[in-house]
Amino acid sequence: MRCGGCSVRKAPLPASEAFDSRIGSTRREISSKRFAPGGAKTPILMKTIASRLEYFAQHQPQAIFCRFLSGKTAETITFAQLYERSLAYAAYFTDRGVVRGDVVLIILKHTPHLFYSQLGAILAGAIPSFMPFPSPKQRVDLYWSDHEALFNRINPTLLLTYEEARQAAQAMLSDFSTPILLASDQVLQHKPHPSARIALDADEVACLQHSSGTTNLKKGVMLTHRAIIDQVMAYSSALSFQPDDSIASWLPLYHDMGFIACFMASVIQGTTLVALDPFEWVMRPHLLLDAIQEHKTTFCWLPNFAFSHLVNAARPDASWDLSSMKAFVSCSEPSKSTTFEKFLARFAECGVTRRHLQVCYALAENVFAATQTRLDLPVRTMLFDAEAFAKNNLAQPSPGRAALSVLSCGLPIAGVSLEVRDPSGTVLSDGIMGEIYIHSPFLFAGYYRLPEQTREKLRDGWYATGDIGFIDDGELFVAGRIDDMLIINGSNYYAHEIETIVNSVPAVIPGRNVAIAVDDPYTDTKVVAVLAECRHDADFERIGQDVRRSVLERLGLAVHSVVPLARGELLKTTSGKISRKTNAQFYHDRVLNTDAANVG
Amino acid sequence: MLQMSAESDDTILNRVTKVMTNVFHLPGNFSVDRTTSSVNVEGWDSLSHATLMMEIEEEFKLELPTDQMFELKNVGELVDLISSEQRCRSKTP
Repeated sequence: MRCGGCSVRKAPLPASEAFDSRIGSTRREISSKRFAPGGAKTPILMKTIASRLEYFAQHQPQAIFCRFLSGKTAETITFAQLYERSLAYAAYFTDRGVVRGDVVLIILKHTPHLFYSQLGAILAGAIPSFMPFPSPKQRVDLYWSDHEALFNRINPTLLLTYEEARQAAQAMLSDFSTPILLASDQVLQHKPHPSARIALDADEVACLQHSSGTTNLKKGVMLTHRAIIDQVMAYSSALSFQPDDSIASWLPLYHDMGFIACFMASVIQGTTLVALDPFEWVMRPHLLLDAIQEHKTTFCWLPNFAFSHLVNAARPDASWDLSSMKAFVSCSEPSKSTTFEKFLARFAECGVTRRHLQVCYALAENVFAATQTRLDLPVRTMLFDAEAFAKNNLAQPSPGRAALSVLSCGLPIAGVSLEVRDPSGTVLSDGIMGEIYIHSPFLFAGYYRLPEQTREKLRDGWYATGDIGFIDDGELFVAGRIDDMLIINGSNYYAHEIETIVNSVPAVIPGRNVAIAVDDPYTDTKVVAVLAECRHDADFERIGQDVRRSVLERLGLAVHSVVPLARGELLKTTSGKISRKTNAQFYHDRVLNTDAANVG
Repeated sequence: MLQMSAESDDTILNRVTKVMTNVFHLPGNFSVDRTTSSVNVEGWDSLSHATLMMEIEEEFKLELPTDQMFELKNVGELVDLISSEQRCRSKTP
C-alpha cells in the first residue's frame, strides 16, 4: 500500500489476530479455531512454544508432525511422539543441572533428535541454539578452535552433540569445561517428570539464532516465545497458510529459513513437515521433488541457487507431479527472474505456474519474514536504468538504456513497518535506494551478551538491516548489502574474514588481497573470487591451491577462482585504499571477459 | 541382473578424468591424478561436486552411497569408491 510521499510502510494487522507487541493483553491470545487442524473448538491460551506443542499433543496426538526422510528410510513422528520425546530430553537436561535461562548448544547431524532436543530444552526453560556441525571439507581442529571464543562468550551449560564431535571437542578445546552430552535413542527412555516442564512466560527468550556471519562474527539473536509465535501467525496470514497445508524442506535447522519457516511454523501451527537431509539433498536434488509428489506438500522455501540446482539436476526424461504446491518461496539470497524463468521452463509440465514462484525477504533479527509477495499474483519485476542505479542510487525506468532487473520482495507482512534511509538517517522517498530499516512486533530481544552490537543495530525500536533497497508502490526491492557480507548459497560470509585467511598463505603479500562475490550463470548464485597480490618469486599455480585449501579448511567454503596479481596491481581508491567494488569491476571486465591465462 | 566386471584403477581414472573435464571445463593440458582435489580445480564446490557425482553415476551406471560422496577427499578416493562399488556389483548374483 502507498503512504503518500513518505517511505514508511505499515501493513495492517489482520482483524482476527490483532495484537500489540508491547502491551500484554488478551488480544494477543490466539484462537485454536483457525490453527488447530484437529478441529478443537475451545479457545486456547497458547502464548509459548511449549504450550502450543502441548496443545497439539493433546488435541491431535496422532496427527503427523514430521515425515523424516534420511537415506532410504522414512520415519513418521506424530505430535504425541514429538511431545513425549521432547519431554524426555527436558528431563535429561534437568537431571544434568540445566535450569531456566541456561544456554544449551546443539550440534547434530540430520536426525529427529534435532527436534526433540530443541523442544526439550525449551520445555525445561533453557535457551537452545542450533550450530552447524563441521563439514567434511573443514579441518576439524580449526572448526573447534574457531568456535572456542564464541563458546566462551555464550558460556553454555551443556553441549549436545554426537560421539565423533564430542571426541574432537574434548581433544581440541583445552579450556572448555562445559559438559558434553550425546544425543541418542537412550535419552528417549528418560521418564518425564513434572519438574522438567516448567511454566514459561511468553516474553522469555526461547532460543538463540546463530545464523549470520562466520564463526568469529556470529551473534546470538535472542528470540522470545511471543516474537516467534506472533511472527509465525503474521506470516501464515500473509501466505493464507491453512491447517491442512504442509511444508517440504531440505533446509538445515541452524538456518532461520529451516528453523523458523519450516520447523517452528509446523510446531506452532500443528501442521506437517516433510524433512530431508540437507547434505543428501545437495547430492540428490530430485529427492525434494519426489517428496513433494509423494506427500503432496503445499509450501517449500528455497534460496535462489536451489531453484537452479533442481533444474540442473533434473534428468530430461524425468517428471513429477508438483500440482499440490501453492508456492515455492525464494528467500535468503537475491532472487533472480532468470532463475524463475529456468525453473518454470523445466517444471511447467509438472504443474508449476508463474504464480507458484514467490519471494520473501527475511532476517533472523525479525524472527523470519519481513515481506512476502502475494500468492495470487506473479512476482513483479522492475527494470531500471543501470547507470542511474550505480551512480545516483535511483531506481528509475530506462527506456532504450541498459537495464537492471530486480524482483519484488513483496509487501510488509502484518505488523511490519519499513523505512529506507540515507546514511544521515533521513527517510527516503520511493524509488531511491538506501539502507532498509525494520520495525515490528517480533523484532529480536538483542544479541546475546553483546549489548554494544545490539545498540548499534537496534535504535528506537528500529533495526538497521544492512541491506540496501528501495520501495516502489509499497513493495520492497532489495539490491545488495551495505557492508562486505557475501551471500553464497544462502550462507553469509564476510569478505574481510576470507581476506584475513588468505593473508596467511605464504606467497600472498599480507593485506593485499580482496574477496569478492561474482555471478555464476550456471548455478545462478554468487561464487567467491579472490584477487591476491603475490611475491615476485611465487608459484602462481600453487597459490590457487593454497588459497582454496586455507579457506576451505577454515570456513568450509570453496573459493571459485583465484587471480594472482603482481605487487601494485590491485586497484585503489583515490585515498589509496584497496577497493573491493573497483576490483570486482576489474575482475568482471578483465578476467571474466578475457581468456586470462593466469587464473589459478 | 546385469553383471559387470570391475575395471582396473587406471581405466577408472581415465573415465573419471573424462567426466571431470566435461563438468569443470578443464583445459586440455590439465592433468588429473589420484591426488587431484577440489583445491586444484576451479569451480569445484559442493554444487558442482553434486553435478560431478551425478555424471559419474551416469558414466559408470552405478549408484554411489550418498554419505560417502561427501567424504571424498580427492580423485583417488573417488576411483577407489567406484572400484569398490563395481566389485560389489560384479559379485551380485
